[in-house]
Amino acid sequence: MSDARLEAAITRRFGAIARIENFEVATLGGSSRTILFDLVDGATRRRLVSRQESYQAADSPFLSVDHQYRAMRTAFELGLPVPEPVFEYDTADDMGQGFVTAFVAGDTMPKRIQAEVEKSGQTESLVRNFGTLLAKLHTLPPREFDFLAQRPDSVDALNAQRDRYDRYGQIRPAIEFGLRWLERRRPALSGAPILLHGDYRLGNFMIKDGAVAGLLDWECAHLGDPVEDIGWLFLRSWRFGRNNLEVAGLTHRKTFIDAYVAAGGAEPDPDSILWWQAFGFVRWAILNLMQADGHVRGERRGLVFAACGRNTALVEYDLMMLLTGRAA
Amino acid sequence: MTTPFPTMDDLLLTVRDFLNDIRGELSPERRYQAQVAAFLLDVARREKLSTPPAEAIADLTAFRDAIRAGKFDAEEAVLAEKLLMLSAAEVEIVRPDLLAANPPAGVLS
Repeated sequence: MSDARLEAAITRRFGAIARIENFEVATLGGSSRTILFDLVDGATRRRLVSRQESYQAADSPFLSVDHQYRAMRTAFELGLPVPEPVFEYDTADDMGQGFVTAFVAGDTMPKRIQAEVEKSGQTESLVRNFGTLLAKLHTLPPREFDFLAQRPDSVDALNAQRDRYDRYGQIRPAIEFGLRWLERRRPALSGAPILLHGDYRLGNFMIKDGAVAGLLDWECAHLGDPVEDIGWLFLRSWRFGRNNLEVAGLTHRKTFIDAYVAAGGAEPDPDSILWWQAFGFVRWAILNLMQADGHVRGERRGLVFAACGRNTALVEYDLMMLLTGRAA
Repeated sequence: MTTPFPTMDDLLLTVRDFLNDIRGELSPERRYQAQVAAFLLDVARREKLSTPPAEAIADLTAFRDAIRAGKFDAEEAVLAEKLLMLSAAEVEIVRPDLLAANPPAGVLS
């Protein structure tokens, strides 16, 4: 099995001698199509990943493919462990919007990673790795990512959520409460806006040998307060059942924060972490509404998107557990 | 009127069990989709059998307008407790296993 258009796109860039082998479709029903393949160019063989967006709403909260690619390329060139961007599809490829990156070996499955690093005694070192890596990302020169400055999430992250929420036409009391709670307690920005990954969590780390081999999924990158990424990482939603362990269900936040600060990140204020956790739940709930909205309106129907609508309740519950002081 | 035979719940349960039975025969992508489909049938079954919680908000539009106007600001803590219970009622339908493992009891000290 292969893909004639992908082969043509490869031939256009690498010459007629280049061919594709070991073609494998990896997508599990999301909004993008992911293909793994070997690029064989003479005696050289390289495993690559093609990612095509199959759907992008006009009011999508996600970065355009062009900006995703640019953010990844810039981060890669500045030394972050990002899968090397190889090329972006253009209109002549007839592949829609998408790009090709290097393949990074490892595992992204959260529960498997939790079990593996626990078994190998690497839990603490992996969480320190998360802290060191995020500090490195947060200290990249923001001017290199100026192209993200006009993203609604960069301009005013909270207003961006409310605007999206209002577009989906649902009235969810817990989200309304969360938005009001956040508006009444807006923290001062802890410094000039810096690059944020925007989805820094277990599931978006390619883990190999107990360390991060690749930081994936840059579709939410924007500029803002560094604590936004930290609050997001600490959400219960990414603990995968190990609710008492705040960082990815692996360990407590001190391990992460100590490593983050030691690597040059600013010490996050606990009140600010709480605010950004509440923000994260509101944002995650609204993202679930967005997925269900595409399903209900018929733009992108599917089992997973239908399930996302009901998943909203789980996120709202976690939000209210946080805001009533029952959970951290 | 007599109860249809088999009942709607039985129909949903039967299809769910069928999906679970065939999962092992499917490709990884289809296996995942069958799992999600079975999950959604379970949600539909529980929702059909549920009754609205006593705390349910009757007029959502009025609630939205009031909370945005700050009319609940003075009773924020009371409203938060009510919304926690409403959220818990929804989780009871969507993922009762998660609610059982993480009930809304006790406040962190």
